[in-house]
Amino acid sequence: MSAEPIILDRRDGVAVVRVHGEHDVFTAPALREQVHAAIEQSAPLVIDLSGATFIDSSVLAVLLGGLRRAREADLGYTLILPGDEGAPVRRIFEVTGLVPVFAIQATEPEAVAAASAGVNA
Amino acid sequence: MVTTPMAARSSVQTAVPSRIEVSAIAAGPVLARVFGIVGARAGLSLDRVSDLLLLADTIADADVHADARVTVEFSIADGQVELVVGPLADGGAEALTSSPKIGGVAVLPRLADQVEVLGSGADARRVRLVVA
Amino acid sequence: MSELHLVLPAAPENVVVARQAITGLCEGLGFPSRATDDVRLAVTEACTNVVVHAYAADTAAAQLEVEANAVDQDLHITVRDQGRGMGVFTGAAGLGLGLPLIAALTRAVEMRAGPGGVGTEIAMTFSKDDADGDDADGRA
Repeated sequence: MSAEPIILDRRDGVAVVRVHGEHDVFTAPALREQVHAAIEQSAPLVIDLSGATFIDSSVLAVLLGGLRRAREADLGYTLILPGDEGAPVRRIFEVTGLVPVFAIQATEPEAVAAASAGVNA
Repeated sequence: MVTTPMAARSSVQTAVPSRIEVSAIAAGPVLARVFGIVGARAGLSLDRVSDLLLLADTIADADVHADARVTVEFSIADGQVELVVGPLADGGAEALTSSPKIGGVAVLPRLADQVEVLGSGADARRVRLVVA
Repeated sequence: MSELHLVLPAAPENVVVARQAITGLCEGLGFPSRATDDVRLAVTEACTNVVVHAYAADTAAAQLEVEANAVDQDLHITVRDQGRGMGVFTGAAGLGLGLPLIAALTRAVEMRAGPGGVGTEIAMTFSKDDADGDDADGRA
């Protein structure tokens, strides 16, 4: 395996993009493709970062771009992030002050339900 | 399929080597992580990646390096990882290729598909290894 | 002599190689995990800047260089390129996150021209016991 996987899943009509392992400028384009594809298919979207062990500002840019598109399309768009403070993936959201910008849930059922209900803020 | 950003270029261009120099103290964890990712990227099997990690430990722990600095140049071609270790201290090339042993058997030739000392006599300062 | 000196082609797939090397160094130096997380992110951001901005697309010898020195409880890491010189470090997609993000993760950061005025270097200082990169007065 030369790149950590990005897996597209479906739960109750909601697209779930699962991001595993480390992601940066190299894999951000692949993530962008998955996010845009789901939004173009008018699916509410959950981005599951619970299995991610590293993300950087390239990945954040993709998440922000997806959020903008989702809001334009009036689609649900939520993130699953580990809840414990200081977890490495949560850290970049905290340091950049972007936690309030996204709709973040700690568990998949909550994230799927929120996205399904059109939550994107 | 992964698309690369417009401003980036592929590492097919060979004008720039990939080279790591690390102090002997930190060499173990550094080489293990770098060899691990290089092996995965080359598409080596899990067993061969494990062998690469053993090679990392062997190289890091061997007292063969000039100035207590471990230097390795690495590249990937045709699904193989090529490593060039050195500069080594006097006698270091011979020591690295024959003396780290497990159960009386030299480790490097067990782990690498090719083991080659570069240079000869007093100029034998580097060892080339290929893992496929 | 530095603890670590890494030279790589400045390509997106090599940012993770630099990150793995630096992670190994932090392990070898006994950095606590939260401090290591900040080092990993800051170094990734600096290397990404080199890969994305430092060189024109057709540059034959686009090089990414990472050098680390340990001094007492501090780790000094410099990410260097030999490219276009002091450009605008805007971070990913012009979000303006790059250098301010690094500043928030480090005890100190300086962006300056490289040796001999060629290229650019980002010099970062991390403390082993200072996971939040806070100023001495405790404010981030």
